[in-house]
Amino acid sequence: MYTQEAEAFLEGEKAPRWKLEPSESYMVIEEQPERAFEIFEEHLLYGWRGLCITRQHPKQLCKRYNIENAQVFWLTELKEENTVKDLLEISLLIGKFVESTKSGIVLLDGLEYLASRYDFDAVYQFIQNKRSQVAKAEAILLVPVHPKTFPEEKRALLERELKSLLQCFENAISQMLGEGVKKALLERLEKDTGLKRDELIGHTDVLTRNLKEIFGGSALVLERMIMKQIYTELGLDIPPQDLDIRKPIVKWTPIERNKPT
Amino acid sequence: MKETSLHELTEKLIGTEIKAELLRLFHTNPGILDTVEGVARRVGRMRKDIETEILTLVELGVLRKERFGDLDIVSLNTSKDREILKKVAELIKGGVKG
Repeated sequence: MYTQEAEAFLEGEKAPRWKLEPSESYMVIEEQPERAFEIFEEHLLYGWRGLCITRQHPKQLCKRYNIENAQVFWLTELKEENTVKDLLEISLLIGKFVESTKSGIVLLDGLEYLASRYDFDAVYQFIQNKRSQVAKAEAILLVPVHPKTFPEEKRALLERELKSLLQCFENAISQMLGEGVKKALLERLEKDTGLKRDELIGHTDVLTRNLKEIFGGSALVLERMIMKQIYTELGLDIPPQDLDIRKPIVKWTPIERNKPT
Repeated sequence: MKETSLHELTEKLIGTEIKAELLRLFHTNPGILDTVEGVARRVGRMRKDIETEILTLVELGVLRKERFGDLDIVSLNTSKDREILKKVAELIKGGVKG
């Protein structure tokens, strides 16, 4: 079985749905780094070369995502092949990769782990440094971050370094309906859902349900405009007409077109 | 009741993608004074696709359509727009659960 998207790719569609902008670094706020891995996986499929540093065991990861072509390093204290354990090692690894690779994408999963072992300033300086290297090398850096890892003021510092989907969401609302409506909407969503605003993006089902409750039939238009904003700000192509934001990004299943049926 | 009013108002404001695009255009560029053709070009649409939507927003008061010589010029009615968005914000706040 292969997905429609995989078929489109085989038929010559060259741009990934989540084509991020070279030289940019992105923070993906989510409880589990699923969307970040999906974006990474999709870029590999479209010919990007990948470096993945992760807290998850590479074998488990490769079962779940089609990322065999990427260099995968396990972030752990254990000393094994393809493991890294500290900021310096990771810094050198990323630096070497982006300098020697054309069209390189780096997924750094494990900021929580690093934050637990180093003080925030060290992690922040590391991110600043990597962002500069990535920008110079025209690579892409993806950093999934759990919404509760950092206190608000520290996450705000990180957000200045890394683009966030929440900013895109907020911009979409304020550009369409103004700052006052955006503020009222975010306050209401926080109160109705019990989620903080940066957690909303990671709970698309909850967000969709509540937008529907607040805006009625117009919620669908709003969702579509939010998706357009996200796509535009992240340098992506315009989303397809039938894109449903309630569904996660389609996972790329192994393509079995040539197998006998 | 408040939710019904909010649904009706947002339906008039952003009930279609074209209206949402028009609102975004005029809110990010509040000084625009342009013909319907010009506005259509700015949002990447055909004139025929946006004419009705512009009329709806004019009827609501968010946009203004005025005759200048031979041309119908569309612009943002800033005071009415501000009033309507304030109303939307109030209705959103007013609907907070429990």
